[in-house]
Amino acid sequence: MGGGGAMQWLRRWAYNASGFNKLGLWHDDCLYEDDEVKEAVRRLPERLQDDRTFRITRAMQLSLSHQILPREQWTTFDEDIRYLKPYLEEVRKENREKAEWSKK
Amino acid sequence: MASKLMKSNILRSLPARRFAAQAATKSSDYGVLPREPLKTTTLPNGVVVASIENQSPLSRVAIAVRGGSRYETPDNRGATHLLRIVAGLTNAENTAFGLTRELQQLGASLACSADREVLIYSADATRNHMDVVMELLANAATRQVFKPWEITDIKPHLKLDVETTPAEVSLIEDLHLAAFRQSDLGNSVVAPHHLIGQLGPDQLASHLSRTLLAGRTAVCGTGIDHETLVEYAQGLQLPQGEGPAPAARYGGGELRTEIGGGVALVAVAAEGAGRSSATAAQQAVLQAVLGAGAVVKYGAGRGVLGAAAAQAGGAAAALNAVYSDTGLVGYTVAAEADKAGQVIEAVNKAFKTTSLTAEDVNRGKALAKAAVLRADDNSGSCVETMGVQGASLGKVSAVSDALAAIDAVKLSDVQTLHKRLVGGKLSMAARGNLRTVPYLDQL
Repeated sequence: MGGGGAMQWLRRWAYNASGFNKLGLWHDDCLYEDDEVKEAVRRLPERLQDDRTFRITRAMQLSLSHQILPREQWTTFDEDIRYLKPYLEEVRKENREKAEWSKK
Repeated sequence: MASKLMKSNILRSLPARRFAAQAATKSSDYGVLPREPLKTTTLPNGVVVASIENQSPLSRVAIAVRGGSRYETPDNRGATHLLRIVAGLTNAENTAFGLTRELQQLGASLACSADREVLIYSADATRNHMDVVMELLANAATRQVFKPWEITDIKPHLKLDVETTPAEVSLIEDLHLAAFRQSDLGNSVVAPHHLIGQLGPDQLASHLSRTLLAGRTAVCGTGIDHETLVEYAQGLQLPQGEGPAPAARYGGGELRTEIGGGVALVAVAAEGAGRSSATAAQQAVLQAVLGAGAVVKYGAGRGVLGAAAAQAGGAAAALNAVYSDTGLVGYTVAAEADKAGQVIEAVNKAFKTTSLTAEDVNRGKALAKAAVLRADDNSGSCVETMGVQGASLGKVSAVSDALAAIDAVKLSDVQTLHKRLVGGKLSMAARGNLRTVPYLDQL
């Protein structure tokens, strides 16, 4: 993904502009928790769940005290891993399969 | 429940009367199938394939693996119990949901059973759907992936299974533990209660990687022709390897579990011969003579032990547990708590001092042959027997061989065997209200 240097630069810029990294959050922490995301989070290994919970709690605390993290603690574009993606895709695939079967 | 309703006579007679006229004129969809006797092939990679074409409308195929609870290690004790429970969950090709719906759509069924020696995945379906079902079976048996969340979600089933284990099952598990001590055949088929928490995908995967190997697998089927089954077995992807060897050591001992209640259950056994031993047929005959359980509901037990127990006010049956290298031969007794002592004394006396006559042995031979034939008649137990033989011994024998072996048993053989058994070191397990139950050294 991200063909060419220009595209990559644009993605970095957009990432930094969106601001959630200043609260120490990762992309997948910010997903709206619909039923599929909830199920995917339930399936995360315990360590990943705990890390996610910590980041969200820290971000909520920062938000209510109107602060952001010091610059060196901001999440960088490179360290932000889409940890939830495989689980979320599996949940979506299963739901599609269920929908297929209920059509029959 | 719907199934109970269908058993009522009134409802059954109506459809039977209506279709009776049509039954005679309906022709078979499949023409005349050739009947094939037992055919076995051993593939180059070690898989044993056995099939019988018995013209049955249902086909049954089983994949049997020599990976029962005796091959569990101390780190993955209880893995076979959990494997039985998770048999239909997500594998590499199907999701749990998809597998269930696919099977339902085809009217097929998939089951997993395990004992101390073998783990058997079996499926049955009508012949026209069997090719799809065999694919599903191969996925379920050989391409498991253990999703941690599915295992966690199904753990309550395991807990329920362990906690509702019937007393009779616990008794036999205790007997094996007393006889073979804490490894190999002493490992219970029921997961130990204190180890349920630590059972997870790693334990299941480690058990399968040690035991799910080509040389330890048998593919058996009824209602299917041999070429199809051989092709199917060749398509299974199974790793090579030896896997753990059987290493049972008979020790002898006793295990008493006092849980109160009104009944005492007792099992006593001596070490017996293995499945491929020359004395296996003699043991089967001896078990039949001693009395292998009642055939009539509420009837008194059969055989020498059954009669002795009924006179003293309890029930008894002979026990013959056979494994590939060794076995247990003895008896089980059930009696009310107050009478248990007398019943056990009577049964033990009969077990030890009965003198066997030619008539007894002939009766035993007839009963043993009938039991073998009855098991062969039922395609479910037929496939299971083939699987157990193929996986644990590496070869499957025809029923006629078993019948010939039973026919060859002589009175002197059985008498020698009986003398050797009662002279050997005994093991005992007791469960229930044990206030009148004697200890092993008092027997």
